[in-house]
Amino acid sequence: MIDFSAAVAAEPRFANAYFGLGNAQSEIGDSEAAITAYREAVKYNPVHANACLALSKLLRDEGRLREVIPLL
Amino acid sequence: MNRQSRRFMKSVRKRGNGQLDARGKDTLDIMMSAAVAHHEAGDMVVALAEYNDILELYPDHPDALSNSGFIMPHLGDIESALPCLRRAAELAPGDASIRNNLGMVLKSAGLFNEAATELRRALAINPALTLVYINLGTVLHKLHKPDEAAEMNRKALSTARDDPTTLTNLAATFQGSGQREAAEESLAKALAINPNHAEALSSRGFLYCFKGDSRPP
Repeated sequence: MIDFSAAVAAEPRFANAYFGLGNAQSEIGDSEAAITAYREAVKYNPVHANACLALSKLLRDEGRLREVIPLL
Repeated sequence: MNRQSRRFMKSVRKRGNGQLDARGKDTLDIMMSAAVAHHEAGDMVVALAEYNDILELYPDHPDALSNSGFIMPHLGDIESALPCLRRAAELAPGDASIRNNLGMVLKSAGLFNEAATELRRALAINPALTLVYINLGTVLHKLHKPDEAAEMNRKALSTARDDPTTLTNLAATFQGSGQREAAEESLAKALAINPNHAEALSSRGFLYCFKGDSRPP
């Protein structure tokens, strides 16, 4: 996780690093932080399919279905 | 094919002796440049058609043979690729790039021993080609020769430019072929040069995630 945090600090628009950060945060159970990171990934690369998918899944798991719709 | 190329082809066919004057050479260079540009841009279907145009005129053009042979497997045709590349290697035996292309297509065909032979030939011609060491390392990995593969990876790292982006790309290649230790070594070298290189940091993060460890060492 430290690597991904350092990567986004060095390159704040680096979508794939936000995606990695989201994965790491999701893995340790920090869903809210993971959602924020995935949202950043999608913001900087709206066609980052893996980030869109991971964000959708996480929002669905959290019961936030309305927030999933704009991602579809 | 544009109008100039068509006119050029017509005139060569008319002469029928296969000899090129200065204008013909220029036109051939333009045709080759266009094909290479499409090739590099990933537009394989167009590039292959353009190489075929050249080969229609010059069936023994080594670069057109080699490049079209390298593209064909991407379009699902390994069988036609091998004769093209073998012919190119016969025509230009001292061209390391053609040997490398032949080696990689042999690898795609599952002919790992032959692939290793061709890649070694490429390195005998030019021992400074980082990419060929990587490719040979991948093939040796497939041949279950981990020590020899590791040796090739070391050579790839020692010949790679001391540029974090190059080293990060090298790490991605290692990781893609399942050689994680070599990938780690390459990323460590990149981060030793620039500890804040975002791509290298992110790649190392993904490497540890794939290893099932989201924490850095």
